[in-house]
Amino acid sequence: MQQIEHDSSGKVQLGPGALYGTIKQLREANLIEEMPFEDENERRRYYRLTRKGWNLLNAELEYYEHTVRLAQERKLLGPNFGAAQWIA
Amino acid sequence: MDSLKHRFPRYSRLLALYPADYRQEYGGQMLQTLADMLDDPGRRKAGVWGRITLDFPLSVIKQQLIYSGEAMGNTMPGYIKRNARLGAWLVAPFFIFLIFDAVMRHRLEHSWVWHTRALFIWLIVLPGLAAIFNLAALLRWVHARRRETHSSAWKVLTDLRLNWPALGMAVLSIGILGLVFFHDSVHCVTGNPVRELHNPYQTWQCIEQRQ
Repeated sequence: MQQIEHDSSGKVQLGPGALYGTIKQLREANLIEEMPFEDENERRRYYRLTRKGWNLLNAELEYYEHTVRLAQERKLLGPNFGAAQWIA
Repeated sequence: MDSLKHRFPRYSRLLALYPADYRQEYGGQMLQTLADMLDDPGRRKAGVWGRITLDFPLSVIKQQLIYSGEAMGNTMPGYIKRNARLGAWLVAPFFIFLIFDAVMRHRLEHSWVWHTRALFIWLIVLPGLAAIFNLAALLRWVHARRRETHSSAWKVLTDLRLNWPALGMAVLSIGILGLVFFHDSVHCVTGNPVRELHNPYQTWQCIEQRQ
């Protein structure tokens, strides 16, 4: 959760309910899986991406990479990139 | 996990509001996550509890809806869904009449519509059939489920996640009948409050006379 908050600059803040609801959805979609227990007494459980999850992540990243490259080619990413700009 | 239950007795009790499968799978982890959040020196405790206050009801509602949807799709018997759908069609004319009457500022009550035989069918017969169909579905459900689970009839009947369409439709259609007999039709008899009505038979006769 700290990682999510940090990566989103505090814009995404999850509580336990939203977090585990998302984990449940991702597990049902077979995008993540629970890692085997290393210590039976350990309360925390760890999850990792499945092969399907990695494939989907790569596809998403390729899509964003393509979008950014296209924006660069069309010179939409100017020096003020990030500031609100209206495009005619 | 027991130590966490002792640490957060209220929160762990509230976890009972989640569907049982979800609670069993993630309840312990949610308690652990809460403990981690509160133990994090970089977070204010009030902030953590504030977020829990927002997060908890929303996620409970979401998980219950997901569970109900899954139960409806996979576990709920076909006759419960079919009879509830049929009931919805049967009570639809009542609501259409009600909406039209409200939109037309109760002019419908003084028009030819109020004197047509169709009104009797719309307000009494169709909701009555809806009630019968859905009560029959409920009885069948209670009988089958009791044989399957050896639970009490009351427990089976209150297992709303698997019978809510039929139970809801039965309550709604009986409610419509009650409304027609003990409220709307009172105007038919005396134009006065409910206490003037002595019994449903009197109302029934009045409705028939109006037609």
